[in-house]
Amino acid sequence: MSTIELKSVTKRFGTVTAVEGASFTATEGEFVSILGPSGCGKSTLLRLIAGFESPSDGEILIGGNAVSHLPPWKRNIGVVFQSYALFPYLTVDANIAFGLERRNVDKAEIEQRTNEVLKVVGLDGFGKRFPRQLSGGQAQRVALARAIVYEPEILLLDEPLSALDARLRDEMRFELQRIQNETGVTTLFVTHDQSEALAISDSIIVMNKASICQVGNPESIWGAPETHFVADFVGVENIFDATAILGQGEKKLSGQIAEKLQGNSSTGDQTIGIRGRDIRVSSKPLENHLMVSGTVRGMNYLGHERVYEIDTSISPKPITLVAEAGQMLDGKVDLALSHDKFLWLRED
Amino acid sequence: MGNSSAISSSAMWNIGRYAIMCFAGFWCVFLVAPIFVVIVSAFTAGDYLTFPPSGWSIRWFIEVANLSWFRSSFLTSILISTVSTAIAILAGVLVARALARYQPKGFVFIEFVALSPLILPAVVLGFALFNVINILEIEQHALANLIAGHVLVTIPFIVRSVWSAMAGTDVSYEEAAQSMGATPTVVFRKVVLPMARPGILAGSVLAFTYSFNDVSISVFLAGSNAKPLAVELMSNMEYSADPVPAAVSTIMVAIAIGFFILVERIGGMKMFVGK
Amino acid sequence: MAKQRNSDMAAWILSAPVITLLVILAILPSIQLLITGFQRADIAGPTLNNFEQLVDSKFAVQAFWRTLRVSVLTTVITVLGAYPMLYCLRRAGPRISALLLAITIFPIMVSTVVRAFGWNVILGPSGVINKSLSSLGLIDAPLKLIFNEFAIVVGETHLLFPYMVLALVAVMQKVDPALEEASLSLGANPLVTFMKVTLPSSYPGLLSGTLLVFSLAMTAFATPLLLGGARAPLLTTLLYSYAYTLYDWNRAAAVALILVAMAMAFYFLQRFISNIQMRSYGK
Repeated sequence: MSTIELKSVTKRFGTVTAVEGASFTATEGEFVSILGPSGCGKSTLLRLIAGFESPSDGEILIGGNAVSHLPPWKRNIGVVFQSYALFPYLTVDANIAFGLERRNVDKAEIEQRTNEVLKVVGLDGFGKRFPRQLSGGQAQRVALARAIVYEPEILLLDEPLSALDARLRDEMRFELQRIQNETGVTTLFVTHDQSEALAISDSIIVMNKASICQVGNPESIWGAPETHFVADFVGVENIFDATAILGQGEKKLSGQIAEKLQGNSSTGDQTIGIRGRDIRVSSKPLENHLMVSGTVRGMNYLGHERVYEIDTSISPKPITLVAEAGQMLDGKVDLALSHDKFLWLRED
Repeated sequence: MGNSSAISSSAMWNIGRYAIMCFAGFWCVFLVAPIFVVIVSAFTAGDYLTFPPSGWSIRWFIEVANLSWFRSSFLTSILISTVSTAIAILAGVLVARALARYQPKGFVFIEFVALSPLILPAVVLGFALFNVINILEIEQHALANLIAGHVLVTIPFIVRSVWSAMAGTDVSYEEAAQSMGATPTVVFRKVVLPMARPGILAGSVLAFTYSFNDVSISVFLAGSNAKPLAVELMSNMEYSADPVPAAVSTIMVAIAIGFFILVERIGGMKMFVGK
Repeated sequence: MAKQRNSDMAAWILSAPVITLLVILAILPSIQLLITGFQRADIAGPTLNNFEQLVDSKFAVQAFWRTLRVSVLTTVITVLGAYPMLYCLRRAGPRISALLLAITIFPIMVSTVVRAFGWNVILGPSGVINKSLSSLGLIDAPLKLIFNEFAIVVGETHLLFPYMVLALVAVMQKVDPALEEASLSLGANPLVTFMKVTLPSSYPGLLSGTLLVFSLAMTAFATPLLLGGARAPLLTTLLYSYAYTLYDWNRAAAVALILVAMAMAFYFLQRFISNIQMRSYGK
């Protein structure tokens, strides 16, 4: 297992920039997810690390060695593709043996290691089958087995679970986590699904429009998003503008004091966010809360909770309140927004 | 809509439907007729070519098998078609790879050159070669000339078929092999070629068939020491009143059926559709 | 940057064998053809004499018009025949469809010589048609069905019919099957659906098929040679007789060059049309 280090990596295709100034470090044995919407550059980033593309600028280091100009077959990596790319004309055994053969491992050892890795992924005895005889989940495991059997320095997974149905996906997530723990290989996992990334990663890199927006562990990405985009991506329902006032050490939100700061505060416009479930209903004014009155405009019943849309004076868009299933609201309501739950966001 | 109009329009449409089916049936008969007639009359017991045949016998096939011109031209055709298809495969697979995966500058030029024998009429290609051969005074090397001419016309079949197969293949397979340590040569041998195999096989069969059946190029390049079967058949057809040409034709049709089934097995009807 | 140049080089190296072969076997001979066509043994320097002679020769001019007539007729007939076949292919069950397609495609694998011989047996003076008509007492003397334009049209139609059907089938495969279902659900019976939905969807294939068949008909050789005979020459058989009967290779080259010009014109027309189609239809 090795570290992965990117230093200001940029990739341009003609006039289009797919990745801009990406820098991060993945430590040994870490499970890192690259999370972002379609077209944000995450797959390109993966392909750069794998060697299928060369960076226009910047450096890529694996295990401390600069690899930017090494072709993929010299990088000692393992890759699991979205389509699995199992060679249809070879058996499962032969598919797995492929990487070992390239490393001049002798036949007896190939057989032994192939059988071992099949056990690790839970497919003992599947060796003689052909890819077309495998189910989606089984094919995925073979692709994984094939990529790890020769103990690569790093493991790269390009949306490997997106072709599976929901239940299988949950199952495979646990499997992936278990296997990665057992082998301890530094892993980079590309996905557009935030719940997936939160579930299995040690660290998450959020990307949008070719740039890295935020890097952190799942708790900080979920609980403390730093930009408008990241907040929106992890499901913060309410994001709106506020105004900061210099000198008074306070940030004001439509006339009410939202937060008191020591020392300098920045002037100008700010974006803040607050989750629907962090808003309370209270007719009495509460300490350390921003009180807002509003009118209920719509409700969705979701079984375990009710989602309300409420028109208020602090934002042109309605505020989303997530309440318990038993809480029925209608007409005029008084909302309490806790100062502690406000997220101060950068625009990006 | 009243009941009566529904009935009458359905009657109209039924008549129309049957008319179309008959029409299509006629075309099927039309397509099969000449081949059918030739095959059936080859099995005649009589001395002359008639349809319907007078009696049934395979005597003419035995007769043909003993004809020296049949045996030598049959072998010549097999030799020419095999060698030219083989050469076309060697050159064609490489260029198909270049066209499918690389987009070099001058791509259009390469594509045009590789497929050009399909654009120009076979007669013209044949005559142009004939012209050059006469100028160079090498017409006595008929076998080599024929092989050269057939290589020319079979290359596009291979290129088209293999290119299509390669272009339709996901590049992930090659990348997966690369990620596991396979150098480009290994990737070509162990991934590209196996995945292109149906295209190579289908293209080869089509190329071989075309070459075996060809007359347009072969009439210009044939010589006294090398004549393909189709050319011999052509001259035999003109002066012979016996069923020998029918028997030879039947043999050629049997070979064609074999190849047709082979291509169908390899990739199905879609091998013929798509240009 | 370097990677792009490397792969360019690799592409050219891979293409080298084919390019070499085709330069030697096609491009150089074509250049020589060009030279030969503008030469004449008894005239010094390049000359248009060969072409002039062709234009003056009644025989050659007739051959040209005959070629045109035959090609147009063949194309029209194949279009008329291909559509009923297309209808049956689309409406019939999978096994009959497969059979129909096989019957349509298989003749391509059979040599033109064999096919021409077959038509000979059918159309000849003592052939199938004549014998049955006379045994039914419908005719006194055999009808002249062979070694004329009629036979050539029959033969070329037989030769090129599969190509028209395939061109239509290829285009129809890309059409959303839901279109026809929508038409049926809106109250149109299958025949009306065919006329109002399937037919218009097939026009791109019709256009490319027509061009293909027409160009193949204009340049067909073996079929007109064997079914047309000396009395109904086309441009291609004219080329052959100049080369093999009259040994006038310069004139033959001139005819060849005319055929090349026609073939190139068709090729560029086909490319042009398919480019337009790709832009307006998307795929």
